[in-house]
Amino acid sequence: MTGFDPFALAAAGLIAFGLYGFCVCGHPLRRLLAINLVGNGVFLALILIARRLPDGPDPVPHAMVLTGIVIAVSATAFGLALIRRQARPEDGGND
Amino acid sequence: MTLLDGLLALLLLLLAGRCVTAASLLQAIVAFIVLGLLLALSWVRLEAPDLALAEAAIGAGLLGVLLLGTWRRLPAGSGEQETPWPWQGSAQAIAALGCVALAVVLALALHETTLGPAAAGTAALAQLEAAGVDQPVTAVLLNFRAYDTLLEMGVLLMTLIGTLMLRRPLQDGALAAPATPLPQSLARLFLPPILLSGLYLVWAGAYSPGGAFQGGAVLAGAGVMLALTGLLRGSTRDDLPLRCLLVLGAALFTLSGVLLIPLTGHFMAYPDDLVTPLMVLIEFSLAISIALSLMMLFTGTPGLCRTRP
Repeated sequence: MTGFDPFALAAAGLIAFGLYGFCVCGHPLRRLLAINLVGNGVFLALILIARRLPDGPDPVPHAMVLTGIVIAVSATAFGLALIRRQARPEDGGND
Repeated sequence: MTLLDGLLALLLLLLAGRCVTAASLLQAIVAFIVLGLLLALSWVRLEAPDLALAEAAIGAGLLGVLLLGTWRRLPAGSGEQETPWPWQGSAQAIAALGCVALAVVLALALHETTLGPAAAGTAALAQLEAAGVDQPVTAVLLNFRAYDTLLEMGVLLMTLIGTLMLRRPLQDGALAAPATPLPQSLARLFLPPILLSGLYLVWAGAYSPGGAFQGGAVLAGAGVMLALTGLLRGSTRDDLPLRCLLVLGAALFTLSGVLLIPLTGHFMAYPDDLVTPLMVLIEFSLAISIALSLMMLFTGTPGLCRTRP
């Protein structure tokens, strides 16, 4: 590895953009997007590291990312439900 | 480094920047969805076709539908932002400075990181014979690190329960039937091939890229399509068979782990002659539970029913 891997730059950039968005944006949906950007950056970093195993791509980080994708989408769905409830509180009263 | 890799990385960075700084919320969401698709493409380049399948189906597809569905229910014009750029305020400038420093450190760390010969992946690849499946990622998910996957099913159920508690089903879940019959007939046409490819992906997980997560996500996509075209709709009635299917994956996984303790002596260890059929059984039950959970995260209702024509 002599040159800089472009995907290493992309992973670092995704995490940094996500963190910046989380700091700067006020709207909850934008913050949720920013957290997902950080998550995607972490996934990309894990996949990059998995490639460095001499015998071939390392399946353990791959499995972790696969689990992470599903967890991220379900946690985001929960966050979206919270945002909907916050935007229209009259929709969600106790029956 | 090839030109394509460099171009993909550059586009990823541009889209991430767009997602953070776009003035309208819709533009930010669209940038995020496109980013998910490009990410899937990058992961194919990085020898991770399993993850690319999952990211394309879940990260870009389902998450995009969920995000746009929420955006539509927000008050019009909410989420506009005027000052996202670093030069528009001192707080933004400080945040940007810190994030640039973080990016530099992360990039250097990623550049330097290497995996030693004692990495967990080496052990996993060496033990692949005993796993009952030929695909290393599936072997890690269902056998070597089965405990993680079981807990993940728990997280999925917890978020589903939380989402159902937060939403009022009839107003959020019921979708109006479309004005023209065209989407419905198209959906009827596309349903069989989508179901078939979803089931094939689950089956293929044993020996090639694919598996419960990717197949489950494709099946959930078919369900979302049915709900969007009005062929299926959420119902407020509690549906016991549906709940049984939702917990099927976690229940079967736990049961097979516990019931085999007398044979193997360990929780979630599988005897050699049973391991392949068990893996397939667990994989299909996980796929059913994942598909239904993801779909109900979309409809936000405790039950589902067919719409009578």
